[in-house]
Amino acid sequence: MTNTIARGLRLLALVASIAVLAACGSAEEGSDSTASNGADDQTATTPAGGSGESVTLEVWSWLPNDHENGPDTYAQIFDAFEDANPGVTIELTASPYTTFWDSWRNASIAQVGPDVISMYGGATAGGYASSLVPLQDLLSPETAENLRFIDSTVSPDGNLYVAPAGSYAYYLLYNAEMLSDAGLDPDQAFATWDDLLATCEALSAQGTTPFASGWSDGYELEGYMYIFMTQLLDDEGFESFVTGQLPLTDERFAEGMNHIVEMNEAGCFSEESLGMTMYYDAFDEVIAGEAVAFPAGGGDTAVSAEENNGEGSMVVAPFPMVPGSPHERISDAGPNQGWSVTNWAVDQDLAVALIEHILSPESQQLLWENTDLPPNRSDLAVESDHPLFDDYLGIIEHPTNRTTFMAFTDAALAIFQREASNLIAGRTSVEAILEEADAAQQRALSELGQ
Amino acid sequence: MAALLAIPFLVPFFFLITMSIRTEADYRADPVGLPTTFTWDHLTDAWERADLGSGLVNSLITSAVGVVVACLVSMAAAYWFSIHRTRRADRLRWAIVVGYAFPAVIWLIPLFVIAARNGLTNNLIVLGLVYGASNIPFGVYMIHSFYRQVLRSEIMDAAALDGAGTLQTFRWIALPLARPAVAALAALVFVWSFGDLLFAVTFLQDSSKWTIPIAAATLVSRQTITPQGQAAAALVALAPSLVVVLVAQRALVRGFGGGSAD
Amino acid sequence: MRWGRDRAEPARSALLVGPAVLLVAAILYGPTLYVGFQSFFDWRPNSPSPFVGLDNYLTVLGSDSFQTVMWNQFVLILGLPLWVIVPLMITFLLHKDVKAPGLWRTIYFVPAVLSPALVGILFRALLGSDGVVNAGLRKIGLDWLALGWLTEPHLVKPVIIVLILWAQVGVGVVIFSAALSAVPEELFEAAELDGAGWWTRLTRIAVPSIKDAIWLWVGFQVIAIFLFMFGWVYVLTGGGPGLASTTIDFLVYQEVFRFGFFPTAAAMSMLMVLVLLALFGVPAALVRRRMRGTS
Repeated sequence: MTNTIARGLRLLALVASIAVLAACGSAEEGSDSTASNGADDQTATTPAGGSGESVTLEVWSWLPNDHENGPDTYAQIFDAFEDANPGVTIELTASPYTTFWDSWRNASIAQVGPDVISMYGGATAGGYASSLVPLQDLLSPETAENLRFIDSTVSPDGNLYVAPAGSYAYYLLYNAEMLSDAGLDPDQAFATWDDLLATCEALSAQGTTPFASGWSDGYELEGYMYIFMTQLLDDEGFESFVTGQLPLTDERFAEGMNHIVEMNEAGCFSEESLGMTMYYDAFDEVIAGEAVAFPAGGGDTAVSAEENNGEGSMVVAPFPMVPGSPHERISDAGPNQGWSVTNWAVDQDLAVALIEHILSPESQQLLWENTDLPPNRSDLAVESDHPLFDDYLGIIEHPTNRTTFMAFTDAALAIFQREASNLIAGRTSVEAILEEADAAQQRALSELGQ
Repeated sequence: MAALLAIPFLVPFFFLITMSIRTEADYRADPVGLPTTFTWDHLTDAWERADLGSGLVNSLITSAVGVVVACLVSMAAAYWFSIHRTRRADRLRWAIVVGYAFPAVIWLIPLFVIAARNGLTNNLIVLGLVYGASNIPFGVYMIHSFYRQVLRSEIMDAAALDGAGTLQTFRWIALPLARPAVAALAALVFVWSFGDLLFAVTFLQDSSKWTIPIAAATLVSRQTITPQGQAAAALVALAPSLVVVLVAQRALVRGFGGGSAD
Repeated sequence: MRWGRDRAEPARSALLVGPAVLLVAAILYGPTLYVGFQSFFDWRPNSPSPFVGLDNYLTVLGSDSFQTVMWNQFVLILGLPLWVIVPLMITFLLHKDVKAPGLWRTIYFVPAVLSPALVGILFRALLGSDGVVNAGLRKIGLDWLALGWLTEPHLVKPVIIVLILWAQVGVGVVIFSAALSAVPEELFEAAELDGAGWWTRLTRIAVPSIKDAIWLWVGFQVIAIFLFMFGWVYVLTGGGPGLASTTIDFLVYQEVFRFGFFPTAAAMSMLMVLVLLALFGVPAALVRRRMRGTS
């Protein structure tokens, strides 16, 4: 028995030494890349394209994983930057979306890590103000003038921590064929809010699911809130909300959320939706033609749905306006995300230059062509071969569009996510949710800009 | 009887296998039915896209380190406690064991800050060390209670009479006797370390260092890979753990005075 | 009773316990005590953090979410008898008269090696409103039993109790098997000769002999439902509906990573530790007193 133990121990020792050797290699790499971005190197700045000193910029993003061609396209963009700036290396870490935020929160606490990151603007970026560099004075006029949606991206403390990139809009995607089959007029079915409610009632009476939905992961509640709040807030209200002054207990938020309840009572949502998730059950539902409509936020959903349900089956239209909206027509549209520079970045000027490069018309054109990401530059107009996607672009480009999504703090959104299924199941009220969400919102806002 | 009991455990396992070898269309058509198609694509796709090969190597390294650290340290300490039966030693032992109640979510953060500021992130050995250390409370308790059952004074007195010092007694008597418990501990620590996501995400940012759970997480955000990809990745991740557990079983049956044959 | 010549070599024997003390102190105690310290401040990393005394604790104790979640925890503890008895019985079943017990133990162990993401997919396929279980129930006419297993607040916790059983039974079997292998076979053979049945041998001989392992398992499961549930809760129900299936480690995780409210997260964690210490401290002290009496 002792011989076996001896052999076992020797084997373990062998494994351990291999592991140690492997780790020595990785330890060197690890400490190198951290040291080069760490606190030691605070002195600025090698000008971009400069003296041939070697600099490594660490970039963290979830974006490359969003599309099949993502990794290659971003690699191309970063290669172009490296070519234009000899001596500069870009190290991209493309994390899964969920772990990105965990890693980022850790990095911002330790104040060590990436130099450039993908980030959402507004309240989210504001929450990381102690780790991000205000960009409003650092972006070149050429970029700043041509980027859309800057107003929606500014954080409550007035700083622009995120340079917005890409654009999206929420719209109504619906299956015209299913409507015809149900004896309804596809052109009228969702024309006005009352039409929408009537259509829901008619469809559900026939046993057809009007709206694809999933409430257990909670994101759908957020989506509807963005749509309705953008419709309901006038300019003053919007300004107040984006600067963190409008509490969620303002009656307009209740009005918005009550419209969701109204849809539920009209039978828009199926019973199964309580147990489904928005990602990806609801998406699958509308794409598979098992539900008629869906509040989509990306053009690719429309394209996939049509591929599955047949040419001409799907319609892309602006979401109908709720009564009580001060606007004639408006959609919740804004930047897809954006890019930030960390305040421990090894070379701040270089990092800003990289962001400008990613936002340049050439890079944005590449991203559009390869990953279907609509740009948010006013000097770059794109068109799509696909008629539905073209309709989608048209909705994004409507001039009065803006988004309320970045004015909600993550804390408030976490409450929405948690309570979504309870609201639809009737176990809680609009008032209760908004009260809790507002408490979280105020608490999170009070910590901003510190 | 054992076979009957195995059904709830085997069925999900087979479900997992069939899920990863059917085509997507087949799965959508009848998620819980028998497969009508066969494809290696999901497995190869998942392997490539999530770089499961490198994930596997990284996971093996971190888990192996975790096992070595947890087992050696726990065995040694447990033995020390079984021969020092003073109140102080008792309290020290409880202090160590109580560490298990400290939630990882919270001690990971300060630990990460220290690691990050000292260039210790993206280091598989460091992560392995953390795995090992976090299992010491459990290991000490388990092996110590095993020693209490198994270390009989006659053997120990005999060893002392033969002139063996503490370390020698540990090496030649206590270690071998602890085999079943250590095998169980090794298997458990391996499985827990191998499947961990939280610690790994905290300490590993560089994608070349990612362990399998992180690599598998990348399959979720891609719209092109659906549950089949997850299933395929899970199968890859599964295999080493099952092998370890199976091997560890050998030490579990042999022991004191016989026990049933394997 | 001391074996080996410790008195002549105290330093060398301290080598045995040194690493454990060092590692646990550095990696577990150090950071936790730091967080404990910060829990008395308005803790904002990299920003001024004024002292607030017990404010964070009062906020947490008074919050609806904390109270709901602690209630969840105590409901989950009700599963303890199930989680102990089933592995015990299976272990004893495999103890003899079964060929290749190692193989069976490995099979029962499979759920413990499945990633939570996969367990989530499997269980949602099983328990979803259109899932296998409900479809089967409807087929045999038990429609009224086809409930929202994962969507009804009063059903999710029992479902999680069963999930924990399924996922952990293999681990329990491994631990109990290790302990049982140290029990002399003669005890069982003698009992059988005396006419003791399977159940008697299990309860009168096996259980008392592996008492320590059983306590280990009980302790482990209690800690598990406080500290190790995150992965499964996240994929199965996301803590929902509402907070119905949120465990305390999930809540702390949310507080840190979703809300970014560090002060209350720190207070919550410390409270968690206190609760666990209380849960163990009392019975453990009792056990120790009894053991000291009999050893």
